Amino acid sequence: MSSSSQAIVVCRQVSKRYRKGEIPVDALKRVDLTLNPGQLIAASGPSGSGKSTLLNLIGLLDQPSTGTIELFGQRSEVLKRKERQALRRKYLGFIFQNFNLLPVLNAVENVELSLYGHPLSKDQIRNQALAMLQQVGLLNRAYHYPKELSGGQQQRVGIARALVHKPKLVMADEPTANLDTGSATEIISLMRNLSHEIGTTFLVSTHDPRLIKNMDREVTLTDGVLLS
Amino acid sequence: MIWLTLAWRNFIRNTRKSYFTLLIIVVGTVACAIGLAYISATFMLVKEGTIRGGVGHLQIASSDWFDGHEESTLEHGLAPELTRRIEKFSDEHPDIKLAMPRIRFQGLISHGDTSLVFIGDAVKAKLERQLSQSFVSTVEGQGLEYLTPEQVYYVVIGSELARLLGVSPGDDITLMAVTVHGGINAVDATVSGISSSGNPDIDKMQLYAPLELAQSLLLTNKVSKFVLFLQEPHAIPDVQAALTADFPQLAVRTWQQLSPFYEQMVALYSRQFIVFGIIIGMVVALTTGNAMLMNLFDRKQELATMSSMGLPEAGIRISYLFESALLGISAGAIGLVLSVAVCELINLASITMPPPPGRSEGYTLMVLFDVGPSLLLWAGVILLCVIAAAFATNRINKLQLVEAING
Ligand SMILES: Nc1ncnc2c1ncn2[C@@H]1O[C@H](COP(=O)(O)OP(=O)(O)O)[C@@H](O)[C@H]1O
Ligand SMILES: [Mg+2]
Repeated sequence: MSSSSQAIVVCRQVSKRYRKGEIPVDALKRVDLTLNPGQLIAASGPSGSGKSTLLNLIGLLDQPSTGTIELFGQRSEVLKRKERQALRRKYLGFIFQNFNLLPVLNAVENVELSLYGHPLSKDQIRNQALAMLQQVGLLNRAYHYPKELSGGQQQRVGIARALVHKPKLVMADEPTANLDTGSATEIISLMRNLSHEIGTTFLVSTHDPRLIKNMDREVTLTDGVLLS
Repeated sequence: MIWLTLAWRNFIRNTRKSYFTLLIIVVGTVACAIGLAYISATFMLVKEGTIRGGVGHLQIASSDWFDGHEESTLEHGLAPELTRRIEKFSDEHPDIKLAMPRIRFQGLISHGDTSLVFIGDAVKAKLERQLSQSFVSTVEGQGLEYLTPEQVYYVVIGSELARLLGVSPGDDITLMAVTVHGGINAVDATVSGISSSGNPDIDKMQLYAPLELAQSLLLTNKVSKFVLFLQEPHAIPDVQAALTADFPQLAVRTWQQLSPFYEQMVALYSRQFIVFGIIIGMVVALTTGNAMLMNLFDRKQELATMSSMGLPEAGIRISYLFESALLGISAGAIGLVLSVAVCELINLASITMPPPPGRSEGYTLMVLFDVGPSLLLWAGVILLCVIAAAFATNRINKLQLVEAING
């Protein structure tokens, strides 16, 4: 069925129209896109070009107006709320621009949240989360709360959280927008290494040219239209 | 469990808003607890007042005496043989503290040119005194309990009656009544004291006399009934059963049966309290519900993040319910502890309340913190908080993930 037997995401003629205001906005226009495993892919384009919309649709946080999205061989539009939830928990990871760590949990607890519902003992969960924090170089901050961490450190916890359950696909919407250049470069090389180590596909939206040159592939959006 | 951890951590992450919510619930709990304590005290006072005010725990008499009307004087009275058996039974029964014979009688009381109707209770004053400070209490002169056994022809009369007759302690009066034989008899007696029940209608006709005076006036050695006072109120059913078995020809009534007013009062107060409780409960529920809703809005981003990670909504919801339950548990506990303190203060302050309808004397406000109802109240507060949170969490699945994630 899918265009490539090993593709993890196939978007066909995907459009998204927002009808919030007086004039409807076409955020995405007939987008065709195929993502393969183990790649670091940049979704570039100016602000308002539809990058977040694309990531949200592929991440099952929202639904397209027309067109179909196939995720790991499953048509997303037939999935029920609970099935989407389960799919996200098993196969997807999210990295946010604002880090979005839970303030009442410390670093390792935030990471552990991603292992919820996986068939692991308490100790296994803790050990995997700590190992993941070590991979992002934050083992010595494992018991710190988000407010005790710098932006770059918080985002590294965010990356650990997005990867600890070894997802097939990670969505990162402008993950470095709130970071200084030094931290941003670190974060990108971290994502690059992990993507190759774990074999996870990263879809990273950004308009920072310094990041794009480190990626395996770039797709560009302009006014909701995708150019590969 | 992660949901409990989240609930606990969010609960102790106190914001000014959550302190305010806590305060409202505490105040609501205190209001209800004090209301309950006031009602408990009132029930207790009225119960004690009824029992010690002369009704006793149990009364034994012929069933016609309780239910019927005496066509002639002491028509349904207890003859000496029966009286002695009741006294013997009471002496031997370990649960019975006092057994007091009484005669209810009526007639005319005269002083000078004035004659008025009286309703008399003839008693063994020394026994009655052990039951009650109030039944034979006097506001002027001396009570009957101070009389020597030889001093029979003395009476205590109600304050209104004394005023209408124009007598004071030491004055002589004449009592007239219909005897058991149907004739009329009269005796002279001295006013020993003046009593006041606080109820002018009673004080207008009330007369207390030694049992022997009534018996010599009525030309009989019968009594109307026996009033029993027990060691412990718990023993009422047992003693009632034992008496009924030994005296099948007589009727034994409990204080509740003899004062239907008590049951009516309990029903009335309970209804009033339920209305009061519902109002307070609604305030608490609305405040908590609103607080939990604000809470949800404040944490929209966190909720959306958890949801995007695929964490089950049921878990997120449970964590909210736990958090609200924790709020109820702590606010309820604080409220109850405060209530105990407030109750102590109220009792120490001895606040005087205005006289209730039909009474001429005020009373001291008393409250009685009762553990049983207070624990129920606590459970109710917790339940309300959880229910309010449950309504608030209905908003979770209406959350727009994409918008909420970016805060
Ligand atoms: N929830 C929404 N309601 C209405 N319009 C939206 C919404 N989200 C995005 N848009 C519009 O869709 C277009 C694409 O937005 P977005 O995907 O956020 O772009 P980018 O992430 O590239 O900046 C923009 O014009 C934006 O204003
Ligand atoms: Mg965007």
